[in-house]
Amino acid sequence: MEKIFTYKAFGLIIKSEFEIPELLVFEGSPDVDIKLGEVPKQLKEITKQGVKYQAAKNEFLLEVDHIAKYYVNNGKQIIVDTVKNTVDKEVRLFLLGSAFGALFLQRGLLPVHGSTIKFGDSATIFTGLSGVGKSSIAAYFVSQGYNALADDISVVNHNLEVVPGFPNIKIWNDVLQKLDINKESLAEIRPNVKKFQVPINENYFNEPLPLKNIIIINTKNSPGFEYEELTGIKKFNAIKNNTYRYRFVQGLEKQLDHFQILNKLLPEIKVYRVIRPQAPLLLNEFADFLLNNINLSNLDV
Amino acid sequence: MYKKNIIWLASYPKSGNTWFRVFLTNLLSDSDIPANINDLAEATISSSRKIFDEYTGLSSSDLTFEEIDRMRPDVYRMQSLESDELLFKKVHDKFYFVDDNQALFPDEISKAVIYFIRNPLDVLVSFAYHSARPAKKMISTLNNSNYAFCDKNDKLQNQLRQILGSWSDHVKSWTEQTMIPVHTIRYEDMVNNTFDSFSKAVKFIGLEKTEAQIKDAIGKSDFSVLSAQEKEDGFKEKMIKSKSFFRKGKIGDWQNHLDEKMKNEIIENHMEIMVKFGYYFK
Repeated sequence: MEKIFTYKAFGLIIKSEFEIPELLVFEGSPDVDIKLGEVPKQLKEITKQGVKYQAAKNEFLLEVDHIAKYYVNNGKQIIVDTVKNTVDKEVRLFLLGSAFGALFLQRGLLPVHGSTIKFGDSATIFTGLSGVGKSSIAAYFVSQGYNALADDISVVNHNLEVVPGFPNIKIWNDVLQKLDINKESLAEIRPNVKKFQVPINENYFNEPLPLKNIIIINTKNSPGFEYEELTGIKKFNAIKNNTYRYRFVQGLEKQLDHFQILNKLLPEIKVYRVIRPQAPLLLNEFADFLLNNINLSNLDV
Repeated sequence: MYKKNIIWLASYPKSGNTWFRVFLTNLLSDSDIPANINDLAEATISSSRKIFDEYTGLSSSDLTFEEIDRMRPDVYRMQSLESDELLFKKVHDKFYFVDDNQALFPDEISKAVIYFIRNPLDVLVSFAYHSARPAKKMISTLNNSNYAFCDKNDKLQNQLRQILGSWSDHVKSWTEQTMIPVHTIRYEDMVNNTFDSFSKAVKFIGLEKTEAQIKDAIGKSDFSVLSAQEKEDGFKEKMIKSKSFFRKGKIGDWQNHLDEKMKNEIIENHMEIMVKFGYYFK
């Protein structure tokens, strides 16, 4: 009999026909099944289409050229059709990225595009556009002894907690150098992309934590840091716009679920827009600014 | 099934592209007050990482430059399909093919390209200022056939990679391609014969606007307006190292900055195109 692998990630027990060494091994009856096999060529009733994906109610199909196709349905099953006849780190990269993103949305969870750090007894998500430094600031906090729960996708469950993802942060070469991390033992995410998988085992916090802050990072082309707390419609839109793969939400017909979890969450958290200089990336100054200006630990002051 | 509804505003940097983009924004707006330079839509930047990620459903940061290039035409096709209006997109890439069969900018969705050209001697001075580098060091940039924006592969840059090539490569790639109708505007004509030059462009695009509307939009996009707005609130498209984006915009400013040797180095490398567009007379 073929070996079956069972893991826990993002609060879900995941059974897989192939090994996913990025995830933590677990036992229990699975919420999600990952299989190898053929995927539909085309979804029947497409609600929304992207260049590389199709989405319908409860169905999602993603194609990554020369790597694999991923079919995600009902928030319960993912079928992976690899091009290369083997499951390597490239196949897993897009599985743990866009395909998982669709899975979370199908389950009515809120995946926020960003990384989560534990401050005190609560969680803070760093979000913002690609390239803005979400993983970098998270990696910096980890290097200072803080614990992380997730990188790139931070999932908020119905109890309004961030659930731990897996113990790994993806960091670009320039940031590795800034953090003085030796890359010799690290693996690139893909052969030609100089972003590295950095294991964070000792600094991984493996329990759900109540979400208290979301920090949206922006950049500007002038010196100095700034911040403001967002309220009302700005607060709502900021989280909506930083939902991981927001365009999938419409396609999966999950607008109502998404709206409801946002509305439940917003009164419980604070949302800040923090603006940093585009360059140079001064991680220690940035971290100091955050710690000095924002009540990250949510201690009563 | 495709509609030709994209107009590419293409140029080498510092050649009048942003000025024209502000003009268009004003021309297409109903507002009485000048458009804010910081409100130019993100969707109008063809190298936007955000737009690419949204439309592909993938993270461009997980992809190689070549993979991104091969998907970019489809991103534009999808934006074209979803829009019932004309889309204007700023481009600094040169025009090239991403594989045997397709150009980066697909002709079947392209209505036109407006190509902005400026005397490379002035481009050199302006570009050097913009990048906070000495003019002497920028000469190799204008001459570099492999020049590209955001092409470092060991860090994540805020936009997708854009291959520009040398100044001459860039001009040739756009003005000599025959897949998309192209209208070339000289920056010098935009400054000296503003109304005439902008009107021709508006007509070429096929926008029905009156003389009064065009004049009004020109007034709202005057250098003094843009410069004042930047002084007040900054301009997000400025490079971090330079003091301001809207600096002088003067014609012939190179004479205050370049010595004979620097001038000749540019002329020798770009003579053919400079002659063709009236920047050098043999």
